[in-house]
Amino acid sequence: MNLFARPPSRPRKKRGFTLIEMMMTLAIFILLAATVFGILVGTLRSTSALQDNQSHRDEMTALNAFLKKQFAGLGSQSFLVSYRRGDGEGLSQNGIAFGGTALVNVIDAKTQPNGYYLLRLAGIRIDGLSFLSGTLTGFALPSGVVSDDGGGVEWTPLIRDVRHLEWKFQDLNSDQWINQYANLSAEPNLVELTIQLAGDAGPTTMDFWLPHLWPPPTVLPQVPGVIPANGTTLPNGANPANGTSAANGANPVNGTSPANGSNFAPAPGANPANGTNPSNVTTPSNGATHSRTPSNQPGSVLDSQGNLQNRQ
Amino acid sequence: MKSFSRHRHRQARRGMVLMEVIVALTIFAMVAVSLVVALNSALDVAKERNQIEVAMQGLGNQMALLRGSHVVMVDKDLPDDGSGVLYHITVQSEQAQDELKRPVPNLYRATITANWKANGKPEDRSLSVLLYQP
Repeated sequence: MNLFARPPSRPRKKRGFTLIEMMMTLAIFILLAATVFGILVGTLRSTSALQDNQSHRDEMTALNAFLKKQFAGLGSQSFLVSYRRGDGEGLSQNGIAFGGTALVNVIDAKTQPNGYYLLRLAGIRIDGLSFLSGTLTGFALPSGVVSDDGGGVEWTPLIRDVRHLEWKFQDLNSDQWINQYANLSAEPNLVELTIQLAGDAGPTTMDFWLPHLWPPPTVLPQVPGVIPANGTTLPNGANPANGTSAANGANPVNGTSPANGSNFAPAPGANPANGTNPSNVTTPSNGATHSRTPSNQPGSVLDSQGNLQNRQ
Repeated sequence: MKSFSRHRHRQARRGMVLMEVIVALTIFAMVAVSLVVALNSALDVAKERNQIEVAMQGLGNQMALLRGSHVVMVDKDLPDDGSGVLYHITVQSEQAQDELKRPVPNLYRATITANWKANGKPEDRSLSVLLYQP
């Protein structure tokens, strides 16, 4: 029972592999390995491209559903205007504000540290349209709302890494498509958003129809960028000059107080004191690189039905 | 005698090694081919789904544009927008009756159909709504 006993003696003359055999074997093995590796790499690459594509398309679908819901919820006595952020963003017009006399939703694009844009949303409670009629000149909302990321406005990120976006509006009366819309007295008939994410092959276009009174109300001709000061064409029929909204003590005619943003209460649920600082929302974890690499953060907080998810 | 049998044994082993290589290569080739086929079909499915979503988005866009315009009776193809999906719009008056069998006027049926080719096969989706415009 000696376990280390030699096996029965083998023929001495067992020859090993020759060099040629080894080389041929190795060559075949290398060929096979290269083939497998190539297939594997191709699979991984196309899988990740597919995933990117799919996640972008999911984001677009969610954004489409969200905007559709928002716009369909606008009553006939509401407004939708576009504005430009004041800090030299690369987009000719990059924000819209819409809502009624109590709540305004603002959606705009802010530059991320990596050079792309962040599409984001804020809800701002207002007292009448006085702040808009007083300060919406030259398609710019008051600095306290959009240019300055403070001001007690809580921004919710919608879509990250936006390469390009453009809003277009079809005027209800003239049927003309325009790039900037500042008519507070009538909503545009149609709103079109063209958006392209980083890594997308082409832009995605979304069209939205806004419910409105039919036949369309006759409105005064609009001079671009100039909002009538007397507010006679405001959609709610209220004339701010006669003080219908003066209960809060604001002067709707000159609208001086909105300019510093003090007139805006934060949206319900927003807590500026301990809330996330909107300015660092877009900071990528790898630091402030300016190399235009998509951030690692999830692109959207919208679910497929276009509902905002709770991020806390 | 002994050396002869060993010789035969070695010959048989050589033949087995060749057979083994052939069998192994065949199995490998079959696995590789099935992998490639599976991958290809997955890619096709993904492309198909992508195209469907493009078409549905386009249908929504066309419907929004239609709702934002005056109802005009049409039956036309829309110009190709380069997305690979072709749209056809039909607006015709809808014959409807109320409970007392009286015709209801000013009702229109708008149908938008998207046509595209997925892996050589024609596909289509359509969206149909009733419009009321007095």
